[in-house]
Amino acid sequence: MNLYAQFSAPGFLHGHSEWPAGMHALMGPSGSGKTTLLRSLAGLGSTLATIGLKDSIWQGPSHDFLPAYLRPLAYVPQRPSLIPFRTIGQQIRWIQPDSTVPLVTPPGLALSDFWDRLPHTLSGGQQQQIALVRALATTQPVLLLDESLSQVDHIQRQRIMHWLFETRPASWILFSTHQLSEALTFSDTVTIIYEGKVFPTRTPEDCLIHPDTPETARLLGYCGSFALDNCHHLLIHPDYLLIGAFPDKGEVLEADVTSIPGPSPLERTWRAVYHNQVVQWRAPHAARETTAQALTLLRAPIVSFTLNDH
Amino acid sequence: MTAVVILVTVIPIAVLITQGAPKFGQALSAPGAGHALAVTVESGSLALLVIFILGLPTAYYLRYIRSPAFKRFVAVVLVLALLMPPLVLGLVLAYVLAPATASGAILSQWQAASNSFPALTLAEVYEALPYFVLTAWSAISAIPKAWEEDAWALHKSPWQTFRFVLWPASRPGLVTATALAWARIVGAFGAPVVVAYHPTALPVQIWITLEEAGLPQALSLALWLVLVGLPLPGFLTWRQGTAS
Repeated sequence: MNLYAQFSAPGFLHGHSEWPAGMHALMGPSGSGKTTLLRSLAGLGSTLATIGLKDSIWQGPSHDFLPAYLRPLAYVPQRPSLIPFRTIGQQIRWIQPDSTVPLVTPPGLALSDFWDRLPHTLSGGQQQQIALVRALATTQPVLLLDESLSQVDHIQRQRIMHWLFETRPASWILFSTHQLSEALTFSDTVTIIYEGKVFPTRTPEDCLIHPDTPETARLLGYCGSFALDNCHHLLIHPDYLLIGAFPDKGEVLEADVTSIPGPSPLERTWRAVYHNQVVQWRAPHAARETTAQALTLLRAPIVSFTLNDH
Repeated sequence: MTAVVILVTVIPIAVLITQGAPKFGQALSAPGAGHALAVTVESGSLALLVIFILGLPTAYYLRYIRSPAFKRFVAVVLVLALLMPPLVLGLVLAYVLAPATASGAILSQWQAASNSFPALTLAEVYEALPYFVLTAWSAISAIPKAWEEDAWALHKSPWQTFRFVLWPASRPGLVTATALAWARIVGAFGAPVVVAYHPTALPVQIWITLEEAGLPQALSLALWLVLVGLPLPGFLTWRQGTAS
């Protein structure tokens, strides 16, 4: 009972992914193919991919292409997508003509304030939130959010993401983001996309423990690695280490650790040297010490690739 | 420079009003003049209807053509048709509608193929259709494709999208196209004078008046023609100017 997509040459995307009902993050740098993937799912992109939901095949080599408007989904792009010459109320009533059906709205958004206004009188962030409400009004089971809240301020965006994650207003919610914390916090699975390659969908925890490639490891926040031997490398994640030796908390690595303030007033730049190998990272000023003779790794995946050549 | 341009453009209108106005009331009582006005309005309305029926679907269809080569081809054909001297158009129509040709023979079964109301209407359609299609096409093509896609991706069918998004968005452009077509229909002279001297529409009647009664009478009747043909485009241009 999954939503699935299989991409192959000669399209830009390649790989295969499958999403069970739930909330799923698509993560990758700008230009990696997140929008291309979501548009393909929506029926607005390449006809080459094989895409389907459960038993119904939306497109494929030996199947007719199911147009966007017949797919049981709502897609919200990153760019402004409200109809410029219709009021907010007109647009939402167009999608949901039955006024007895209650509208699903995220917290912190008073729809009545905007009901009779035209889109251009709203800020970019407000327009994006209204576009989300309009998409939810379709009551379709699949909701595709393509960095749809990028212009919403950080606090309100976190609120909406949390609300989506908790209330699940659609059976399938796929959202693209390049923010690691958002992808890991508000998702059942994470699908990493890098330069058109769609990596297998995995739980956020699994993604963190087993990065596939140096590129995905960097996306997941790993800042460097120490070679243990020729084919085993220890990945270092700034959010999963303690300065100093705490054997009861994790694996202790005898390394020469120093730090200097900056570059931003909120951070220090840390530097660890282990067997002449250097890893640098930035972290908040929270650490008790500014130098140490050891690092404690709370999570230290051992992989076959190095991160230090990049 | 702007003042010179305004002066040059205002002169014909000013002359027409000052010279045409004194005999404006009598102009229609001259033999044939009232009939010519009625023929113009009737054939013009029919021509406009035909242009809508042919031109509207074409303009929307052209929006969805992906092949740039085909688009260019259609654009060139329409521009050539638009710039074709009306007299030449009339000659071609006269040739096509001649009883000796197949089309002329078929049309003659029903009504005279030339010098008839259908011939006049056809001549007007030929003169105005390219104006309508080109203007409507450019207006419709200017609507972002994304507006449609966004609606489709909200589970709205192309027809629902057309009614709620595309049609209202293209309406101002279509009104402009209609105004241009109407002005062109009402002023059609070159083609009608060849294929439809009878029933006489206003432009041909003005020509006849000029020949028979002289310039002052012709100017009075010309003022009628301008009054029938130009208020709509004038009004629309005015309204668009204030809108922007």
